[in-house]
Amino acid sequence: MRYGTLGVGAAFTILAATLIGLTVSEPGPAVNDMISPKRITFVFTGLLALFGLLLTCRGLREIRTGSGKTGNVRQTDRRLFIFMALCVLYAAALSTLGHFLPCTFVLILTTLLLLGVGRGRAAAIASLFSPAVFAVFKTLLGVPLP
Amino acid sequence: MDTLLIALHNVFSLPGLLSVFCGTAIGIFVGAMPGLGPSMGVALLIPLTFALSPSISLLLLVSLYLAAEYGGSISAVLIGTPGTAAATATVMDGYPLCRAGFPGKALLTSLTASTAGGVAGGIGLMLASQPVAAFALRFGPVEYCSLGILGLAVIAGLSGDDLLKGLGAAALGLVLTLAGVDPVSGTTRFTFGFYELYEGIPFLAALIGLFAVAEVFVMVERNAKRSGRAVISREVLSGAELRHIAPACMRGSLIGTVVGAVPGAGASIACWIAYDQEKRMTRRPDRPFGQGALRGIAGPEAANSATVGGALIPLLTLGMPGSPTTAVLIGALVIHGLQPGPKLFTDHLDVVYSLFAGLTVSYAALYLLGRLGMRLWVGIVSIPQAVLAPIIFGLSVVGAYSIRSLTFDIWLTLGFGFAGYVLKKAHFPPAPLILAMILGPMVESNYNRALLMAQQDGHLIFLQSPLSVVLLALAVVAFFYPIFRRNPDKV
Repeated sequence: MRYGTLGVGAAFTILAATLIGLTVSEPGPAVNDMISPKRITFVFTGLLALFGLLLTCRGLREIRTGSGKTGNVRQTDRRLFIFMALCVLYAAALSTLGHFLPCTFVLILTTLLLLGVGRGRAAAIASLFSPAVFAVFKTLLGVPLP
Repeated sequence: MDTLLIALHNVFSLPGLLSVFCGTAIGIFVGAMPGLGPSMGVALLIPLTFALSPSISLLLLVSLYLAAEYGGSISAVLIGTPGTAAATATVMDGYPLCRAGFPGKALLTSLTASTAGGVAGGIGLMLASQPVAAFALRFGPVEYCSLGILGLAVIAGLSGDDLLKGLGAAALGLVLTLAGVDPVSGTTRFTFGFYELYEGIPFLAALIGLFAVAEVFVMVERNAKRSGRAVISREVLSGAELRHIAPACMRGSLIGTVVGAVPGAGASIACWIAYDQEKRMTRRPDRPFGQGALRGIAGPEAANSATVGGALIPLLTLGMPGSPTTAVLIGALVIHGLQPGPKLFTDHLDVVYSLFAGLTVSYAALYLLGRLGMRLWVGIVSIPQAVLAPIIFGLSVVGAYSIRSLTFDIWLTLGFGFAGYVLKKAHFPPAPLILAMILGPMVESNYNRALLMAQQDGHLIFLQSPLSVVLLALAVVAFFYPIFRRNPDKV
């Protein structure tokens, strides 16, 4: 990830700047009050801004000199993006539709097939895993699964 | 005496013994699988402990932690890939010994040394924890705030080979702790209209996202069909070989206990110190180091297992985590209504004694399961990661949801998973982020309490307590030492 340091550093800086802006604009006790919650907020976000800026500078330097760690795996991986999209869809389905058992079955089955596991084996694993988790969490632990 | 009897009853009851043996088996499994590890194992298991008593839960999780340190050596020996960071030194001689045709001997050496190291670490914990806790009872908000600052300063030591990235991750962890209602003033911060964030970002959702979901993304990207193949033969350690590794076990145990007790150090450092010591102190090795020397396996393995007992000392007595796994354990204790720190030794002595008694059982369980199930554990390293990835993801989602039964937490876990994946790809260590999430609230709440106590003195109160001055001075040293020790260009 050649742009990793730069990207994360920039993200840290932007996040810190946004949070500092929000803190300044919010009403409440002044920073120099004895126990103003804003004081610690400024310290923590300030640290993030400082390290974010330093990381951004280093990221820029790495790009200029070509010295950044590039990692040893492919940079773009379609399979991973499909899996990430599946995860988002799964979370959305659980939030809106509920139905833990069928949603989990579909997610596990699709992911196993995506990763190249044979159809029969994938179906067997998905059919075992979803009810097992349901039984442990819902029946044994009493967690009200969606 | 009554408390001790209650503790013994807890441990030697059926649930107690089951939790120790289950924790040990799961620990060996997660340790042996490259990519998993004790932190992820403990984080995923916490939701399953909701129905258990605090003592039994702690036994389960600590047994897992201890066994995972041994489990890491299985894949290190058999396929040359350490299952955990703590087993990296074991590869140096374990894998060559396996290649030379003695995988069973290498695993037995590792198991014996791990058990010896675990016992030594446990003894260290039992001897040191009560005096440290008694001393820590003198701590007030001023000292706790300074202690938290010291903990944050030693994060530099957890930053691997890149200090700036570690500090950046820690700063992010601190900022994440700001979300929610401020405990002193009662004002809300950074909740963005989500009532689910009023109590702050749920620690377990962050943990599961950063450790488990991020790792699943890496597994999917790697899509390793098989982790590796291994076979094992019937071998035993002779009496002479046991006598040969005994000094290495003792040295490694001592190193591991001391290094484990230092916040920020941990098993991955202890194993290399122990390996280096063995290379220096062994005059007549059975085989040259790097080609299968038994002491080259025994020393690091004893050290990494001994760090478990050592790391539990600051965790239980001061409430200060020294490693990612102990940070996860703090989350588990808090979920069960226990606040780690000196008051644990006054208010919940039964839990502490149960842990001490349970540790002795877990060493026996580790040796028994490690010895009897050796062929099974060897098979584990052959499980394809393509099968494990969706299962771990499914468990992560259910685990995150089960904390508060809110689908919001599933989204949070996914968010932390994405963030953890990006940080991983950009070579940011996750440990400082997690430790900062534990220490941030400790620093903030005690800082505010100290200032309330100080009234006119203001910040001078931090310099009026000698203990606070010592802790702050140590924090300055701990922060700047790695900076001066490393290449200045890296900073």
